[in-house]
Amino acid sequence: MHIVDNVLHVTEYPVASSYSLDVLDSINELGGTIHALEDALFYRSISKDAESASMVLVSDLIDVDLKGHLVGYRADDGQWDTLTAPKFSFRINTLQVIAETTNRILRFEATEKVILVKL
Amino acid sequence: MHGSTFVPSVDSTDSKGSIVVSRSVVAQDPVAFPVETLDAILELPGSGYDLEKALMFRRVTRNAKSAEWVKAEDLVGQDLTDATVWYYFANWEDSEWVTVTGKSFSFVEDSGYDKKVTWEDDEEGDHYGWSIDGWSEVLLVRN
Repeated sequence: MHIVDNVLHVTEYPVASSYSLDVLDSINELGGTIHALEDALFYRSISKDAESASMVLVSDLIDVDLKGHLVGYRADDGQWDTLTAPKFSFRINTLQVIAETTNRILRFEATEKVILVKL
Repeated sequence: MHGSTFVPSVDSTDSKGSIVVSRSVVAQDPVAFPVETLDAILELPGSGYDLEKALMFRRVTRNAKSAEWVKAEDLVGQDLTDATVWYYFANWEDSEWVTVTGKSFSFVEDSGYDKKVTWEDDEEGDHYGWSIDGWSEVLLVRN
């Protein structure tokens, strides 16, 4: 890591990045954790060009036609991921909610929050 | 099962268009991130790992007289009274910056291991022994 021309260059694996010191300072001044920032970045990345986006409970998506939407959720490994209709649907299976896709089944708590994006 | 230990709570946007983030499991005040700042980051290559390191590097060096990356073994025998040493601990599960302040610390070469650099933390009245590989890069900051 080194600073040249008011830019911090991170040249480590896997991809070199360069961050404006002004951007880093503004984030540091806002406070919060890196996880909060990652949440905000993900939310922004999937909603930037969308018609609307909001946090909803998984229970609100059961048996709902989600065509034209995508859902952002936090996967078991802690990373954010997305589901895009019509390749999935939420349904109740005993006490859990199942999101069934073409090649996998995801299990959610009904009280879990996900990001619902209208494309 | 998703969200068993953490329920993310991005509270959409406020009146200024900023994205507000809070935690519903770990109590924490919400933070509003301006979308312009988020877009500036999203346009860059790299990962959250890079960003975390960059943010912390900037935080600890912003008001410093000097900051340089050195090998841990180069600190052996140095007077670190007015210095703060940081190293970035990371594995598959977690990562954090750990600070090693002067005065109560001293670096010694541990001949019983393969170029390990060790020090003791007794600021809290207890002694904890720490060690890292001598070739590990640490950030030496003088304020």
